[in-house]
Amino acid sequence: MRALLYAWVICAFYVHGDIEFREVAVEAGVDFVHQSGAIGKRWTLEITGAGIALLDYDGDGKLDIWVVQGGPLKDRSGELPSDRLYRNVSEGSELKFQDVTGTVGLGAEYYGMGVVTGDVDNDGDTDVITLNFGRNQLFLNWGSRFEKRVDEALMKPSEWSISGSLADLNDDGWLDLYIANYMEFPPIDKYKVCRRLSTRVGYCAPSNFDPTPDRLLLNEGNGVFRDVSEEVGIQSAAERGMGVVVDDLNGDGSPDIYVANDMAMNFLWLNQSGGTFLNDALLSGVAVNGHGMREASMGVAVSDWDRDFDPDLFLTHDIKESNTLYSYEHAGWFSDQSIQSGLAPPSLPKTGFGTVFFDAENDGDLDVFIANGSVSMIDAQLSRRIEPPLRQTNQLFVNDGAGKFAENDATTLSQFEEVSRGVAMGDLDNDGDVDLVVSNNDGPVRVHQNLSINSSGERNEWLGVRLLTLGRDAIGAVAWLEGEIKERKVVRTDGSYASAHDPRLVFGLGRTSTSQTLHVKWPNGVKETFSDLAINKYHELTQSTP
Amino acid sequence: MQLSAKCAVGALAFVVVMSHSVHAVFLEGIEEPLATIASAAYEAALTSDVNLGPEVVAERWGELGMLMQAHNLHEQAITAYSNALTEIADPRWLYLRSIAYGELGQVEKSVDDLILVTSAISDVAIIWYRLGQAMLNADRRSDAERALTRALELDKDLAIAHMTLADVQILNADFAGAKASLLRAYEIQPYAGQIAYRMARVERELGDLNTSQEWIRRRANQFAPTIEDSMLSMVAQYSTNPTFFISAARRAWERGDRETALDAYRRAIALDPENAENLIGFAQLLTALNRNDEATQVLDSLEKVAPREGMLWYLRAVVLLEKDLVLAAQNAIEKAMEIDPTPQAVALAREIRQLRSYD
Repeated sequence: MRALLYAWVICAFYVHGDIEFREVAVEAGVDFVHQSGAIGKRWTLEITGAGIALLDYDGDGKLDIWVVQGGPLKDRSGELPSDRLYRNVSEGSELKFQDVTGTVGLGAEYYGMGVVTGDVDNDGDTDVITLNFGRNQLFLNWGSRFEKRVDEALMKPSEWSISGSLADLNDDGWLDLYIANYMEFPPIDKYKVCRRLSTRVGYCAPSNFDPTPDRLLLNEGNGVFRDVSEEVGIQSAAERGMGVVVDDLNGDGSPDIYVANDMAMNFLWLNQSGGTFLNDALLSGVAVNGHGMREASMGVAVSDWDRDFDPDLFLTHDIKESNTLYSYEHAGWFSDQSIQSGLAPPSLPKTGFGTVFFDAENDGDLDVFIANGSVSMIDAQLSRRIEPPLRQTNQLFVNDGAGKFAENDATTLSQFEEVSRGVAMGDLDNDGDVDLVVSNNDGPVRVHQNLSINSSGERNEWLGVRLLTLGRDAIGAVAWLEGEIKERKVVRTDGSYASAHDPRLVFGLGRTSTSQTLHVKWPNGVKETFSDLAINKYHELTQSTP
Repeated sequence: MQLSAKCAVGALAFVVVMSHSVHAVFLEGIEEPLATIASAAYEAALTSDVNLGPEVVAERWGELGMLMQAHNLHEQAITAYSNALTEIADPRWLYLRSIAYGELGQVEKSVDDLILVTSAISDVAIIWYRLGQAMLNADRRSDAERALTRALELDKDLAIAHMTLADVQILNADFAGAKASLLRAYEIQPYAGQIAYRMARVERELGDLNTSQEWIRRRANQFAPTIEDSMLSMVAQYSTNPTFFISAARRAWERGDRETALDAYRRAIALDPENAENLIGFAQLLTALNRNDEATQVLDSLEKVAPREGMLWYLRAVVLLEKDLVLAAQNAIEKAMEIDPTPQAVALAREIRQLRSYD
């Protein structure tokens, strides 16, 4: 009987339709092309970057695009290609961007990998931290331009940082920074080549290099950071970190840190009383896959995919390893649901990097997108002299609302065979559905505009919210719907791979046409309920007692 | 079936002739050494005149499939096995094709093939285990349980079947049943770390955190229970071509499995001890791992077969430098420079000169 009821609920509210995207980068003015610096030497470093961010840097309500650049690896003297910032100047549904890099104070000094966004000085605008091979950099936002701030804690030399997360880890109202560091890498002129089949130079596997510990920087106010990695216990372990998310992963109300490690057990740093962190990944079931095997983890996404109001984790992996879906069971205990969900087998021939949970058609359940690109040379491409010979198509998996995902390869999301790395999600045209931007190693940016409709040829209903506290986006706030549509979402910009998302939340409502009641648990633990929220629009909701 | 590399070339020659008239040639994308063998075979075959029956044709396609599978070229292997099966419905090719499908994540096709195999050969435990695993991958739990139970009826000591049955039981929240299955698997193969990890999970589900932690401590590695699969062994044995092992070594190296990579190199070199290229590759691996004494032994072997190989002297220099024998390293790199002044040899020579300048 319960099954019948469940099926009826699914039919009634989760209306699937046609998922459709249009790739519009060039016509919208996003002409960025990543430069890996490859010159045929097959340096592992050259195939690792780079990420992409969606942020509203100028506070005009439209999402802008920050793209991370690499550049030459051998000789970085002279004029270097820079990260680029594309300002969203769209009117209506036609996306248009203007390259404002030259006017807002960007300037690359290091080889870029990833990007983190958040308001680190609580002044109401979004600041940017770039993660590099070399020193990381903080770009403080002054509304219409950025100022590079020299921060000694942030700018450790000679580290190879890929992903980061800004979250208030010690409940003091300031966003702290976790940096996932990858590994030691020799100076380019000292690099020892690795060979395939004895004769052919290939990319060295990560096991050729020593891992580097991650770092945790506490924000002491106004975006001044202090490195506390050692005192909080983060430096007690070192692996090759690639992706990171922050969420309450054991249900105790404090934000914890999850790190996807390449060719190693993943970390789950549980936030302990007293401000220290303890890695409990193995016992929690998220260090290795359900078989007990460590995998080459790259990207990570966290969301409530099964709508049971707790955070689930999805990790992307190397070819011949399945991607892994860790579903939260209870009391900080996860189980590997990769096979049952249908996400495991189709991932075996691909190497996944960036990934997001998002509701492609706003039908009320979360779908999964994966940005793929090999790290081992593909012989068929090598023999055709395709460079880099690492190209794969990306994948969209559509949730059927009953716990199964099926691959949909009919959209532009899966059209391009490229070396994708980052993916960021956000509503570029403010029409209530989530668009995706994908960064490609040694390739162009792809802007996928979401044009999905339901089976009646209409767009599904939605509810958009921007949650604010202390004058900034309420990173870490949990919001949930308990009515016909049940879903938990967290305000975040972290996740994916080397990338940063729109912090606004979009709840897909299917055909539910009534106003919604949203429950919010703010980062300081205070709960609040917002009733009668009109659908099909964005609401700015501010914490009443921060 | 034991086939030599020569036989493999012969088989290739034949199938490529067949493909000339009947099937598409699918050499694009295969690795260089294999492509060289196949191209040579193709040219040789063009001058031959063959007219053979379907059994032989199927056998040759199957052999080609195994060669492809041995090189991890699963799509090409599937094409070859499918061609074999259009000639003769031989369960061997179905079985191997099912494994190739599984490698590509095509679980339903893998299941379909294995069902056909079990209806033809119903008394081999390992096939039922494979079917159970494939069913589980397709999330067909009750079918998986039936197949695994059948596997265990045929071989009660098949540890991997006990463990996979536990996986089904865990998914069905039958943790007591899973514990019993895992304890039996552990009894048979206590060294397989995957069993201990599952025990930790099950004990945690059963509420015994201390025992769970005890099992975590017992998880000394991440190995699955070993199995003896004669058909897959046949694939490996078929490829007595050392390139199979070189390819395996490369893949193991790329995923960080150093010992497997070294072992594969050892096997390749045992098959072809005078292959300078393989000796260089092996020495490079050992050097990269700072296993300098072993590297020296390999370089000694290399010197006997290819004393004028620049890489030999470059690697000798690297090893000697690691041992702080700077003068000897300088002599070695000078020889390397004399034979083949590659950029890396030039760089190393510069580095050594600099070190010498501090003396």
